[in-house]
Amino acid sequence: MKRYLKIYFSFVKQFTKTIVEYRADFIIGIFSFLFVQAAGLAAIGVMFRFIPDLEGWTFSEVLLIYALFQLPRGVDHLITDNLWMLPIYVKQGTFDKYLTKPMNVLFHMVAERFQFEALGELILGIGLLAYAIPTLSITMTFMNWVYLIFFIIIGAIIYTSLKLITATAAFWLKNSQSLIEAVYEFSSFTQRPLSIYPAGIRFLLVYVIPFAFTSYFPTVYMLGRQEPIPLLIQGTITALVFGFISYRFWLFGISRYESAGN
Amino acid sequence: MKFFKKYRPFIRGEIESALEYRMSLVIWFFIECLYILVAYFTWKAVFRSSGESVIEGYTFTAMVVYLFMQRIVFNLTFIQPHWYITDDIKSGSIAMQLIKPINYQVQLFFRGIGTIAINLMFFVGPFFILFIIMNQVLNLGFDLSWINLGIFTISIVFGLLINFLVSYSFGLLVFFTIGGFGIWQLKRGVEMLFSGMLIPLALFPLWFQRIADFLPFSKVIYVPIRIIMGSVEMNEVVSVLTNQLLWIGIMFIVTTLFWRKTTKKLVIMGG
Repeated sequence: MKRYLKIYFSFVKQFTKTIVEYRADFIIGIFSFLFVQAAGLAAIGVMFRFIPDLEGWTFSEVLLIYALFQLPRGVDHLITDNLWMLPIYVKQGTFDKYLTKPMNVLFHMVAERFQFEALGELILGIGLLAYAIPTLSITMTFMNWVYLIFFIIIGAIIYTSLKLITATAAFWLKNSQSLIEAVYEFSSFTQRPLSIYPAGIRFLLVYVIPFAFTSYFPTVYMLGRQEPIPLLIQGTITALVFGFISYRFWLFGISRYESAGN
Repeated sequence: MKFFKKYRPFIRGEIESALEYRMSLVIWFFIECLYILVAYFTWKAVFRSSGESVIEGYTFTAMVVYLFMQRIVFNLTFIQPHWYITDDIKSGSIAMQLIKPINYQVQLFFRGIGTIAINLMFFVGPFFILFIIMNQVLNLGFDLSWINLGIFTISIVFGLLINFLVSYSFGLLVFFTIGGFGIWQLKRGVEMLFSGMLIPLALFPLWFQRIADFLPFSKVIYVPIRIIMGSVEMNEVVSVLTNQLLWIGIMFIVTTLFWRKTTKKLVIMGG
């Protein structure tokens, strides 16, 4: 464990250097990400000019959904972004290098890239949270913070698991990157309150591609519309099941891997 | 004709390299359908919550038509010279491009046309078929006259040119920052807000609409959509199209001046 932590930080340090090199692009990158998101939010704001609430959700409540949507996504983005590259590594044959080191292969892959661009998501998430909590007069007790962090971890695990499952498909498919993208983009449903969707889509988002746990359920809990404990239990089970399946699938994928290089 | 012959390989090259990723294109179509679905249910909820049947001239069915048309127009005008510029700079091949007896800007345009051809096959066509089906199933009551289709085609060509020139000038900015992702995002954000891509501009506050009127982005997306939806009166058509032409002129001058400045500052990596 300690060894892995040490390795992880040396990777992060290494990666920080490349960021410093491209500093201007990096800052513009984060700034522009915030700008794109602000554009999306402005669009929602414009809709609220014509309605008092969206099926019972006020603008601030929708912003809270948006805040909680960004946080697990940002955590996952920050830590495991390198999984996106798996299809490319497999295609080029560069994946071999991960198999030759005395380290857990998944750990090595994940640790290699620390995606600072995710700071955009995290800044936005925290900013919106800082706005929504007082506006909606939500009282944050110590336990509430603990629950919230728990929810964010669950959400991040769900993101990572879905990414890992789809990325692993690269061992069989030629261009699995767009498959990762397709499943990942299902999360756009959860930028809105789930109650606006028909039952079929809601079922999909709770049980099949469980993005509901990455934004909607935490919001419902924060607003005191549902008790946190049952939601957390369901969320934990979901995260564990998806985490387990994706990791097994990944191990299976590696065992089937035949290098493309020489 | 000779001119066209010289640049035709660039169109073909783009099409061929895109076709290698057929599967990705199909999946992307699926992803775009997801976006439509999210927007569809959002609008449904908005109309239910507002208790009105018309919002700033748009009924719910008109909004659904808008959603589809937005996707169609977006894919018809989706030209991304700034991607190619970033690539060419990063790989250093820009140096070779510049010494060839080929106009770089024109070459970029024809590479973009290749992408549009792909979009026609994989996005515009399928969206159109999907839309025709939806039109019947959901009774959207969309009716297209030949004359509108004709004017629409002209405005799409103009919109395409405007988008090319605007993206091209954003692309030239890459020369100054080395690394392009931020610039692309920035362009995307501005475009999303001011083009009418997310919501019809008519729903925005008046002051915002004034700014959007003053910028080129709405001429790429919003104007063609309004034309195909029949919201532009016949006596307005000439002025709307002239306005697009005016923007082509302005952007052409801007990019030409900008290009002159840029080539003086060029830093070439590798070789």
